[in-house]
Amino acid sequence: MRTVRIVSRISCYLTSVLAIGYFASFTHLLVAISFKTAALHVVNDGARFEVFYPFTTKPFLLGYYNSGYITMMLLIIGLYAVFFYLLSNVFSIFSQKKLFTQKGITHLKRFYISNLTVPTLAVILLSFTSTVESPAEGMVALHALLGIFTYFLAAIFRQGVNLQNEQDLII
Amino acid sequence: MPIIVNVDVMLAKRKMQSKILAEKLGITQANLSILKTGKAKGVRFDTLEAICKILDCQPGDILEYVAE
Repeated sequence: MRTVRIVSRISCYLTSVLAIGYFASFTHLLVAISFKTAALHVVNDGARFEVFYPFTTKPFLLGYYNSGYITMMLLIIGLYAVFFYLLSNVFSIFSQKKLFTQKGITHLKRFYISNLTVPTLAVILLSFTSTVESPAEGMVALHALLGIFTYFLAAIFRQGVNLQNEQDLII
Repeated sequence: MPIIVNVDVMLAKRKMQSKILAEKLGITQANLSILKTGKAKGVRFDTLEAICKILDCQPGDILEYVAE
């Protein structure tokens, strides 16, 4: 169990860093596009754009300069920030001394519900605004698979909490 | 539940406080309270052994069956 705690703690930190990184990228892109800051550089006669790393002229994010593509980019980066945040919460469960808790079930529930619903909704939404590329469907399937596994894990945790509560009443 | 826990009776007979018994058993007062109030689902043999040793009694003095 000690190794599990160490691995989960490391994974929790890594996914938290990723979540912060994605959220920062989302904010940076949103601000650059909305306010047309110095970080935004439009090239190819307004067909493409580059967003530089903050306070530099080194390209960070590249894409087509149209609302459909920008919406897709913002949505994907923003949703992955949420995904990694929820994933870090899931990892944090395994670093606790008491494994089976109601809080753990809540984290797992949030993770599987978001994996089962949000990618599908995002692809449907994006199909109206931009041409959805084929890997998107693959990603939806992968997230759905992840959601199903987490759903089963949550069921195990529910059973675990019941057993734990019963065990706590054996003195 | 038809099993009655008589720890309180034995504590009174031995003039011992719940707090002292909990300390000697190495369990929390909350857990001892669960045991005394009959909310416990079970008692471990080592806990029963320790109670009997501390209160100088038999398991039958602690647990009693009363038909419902």
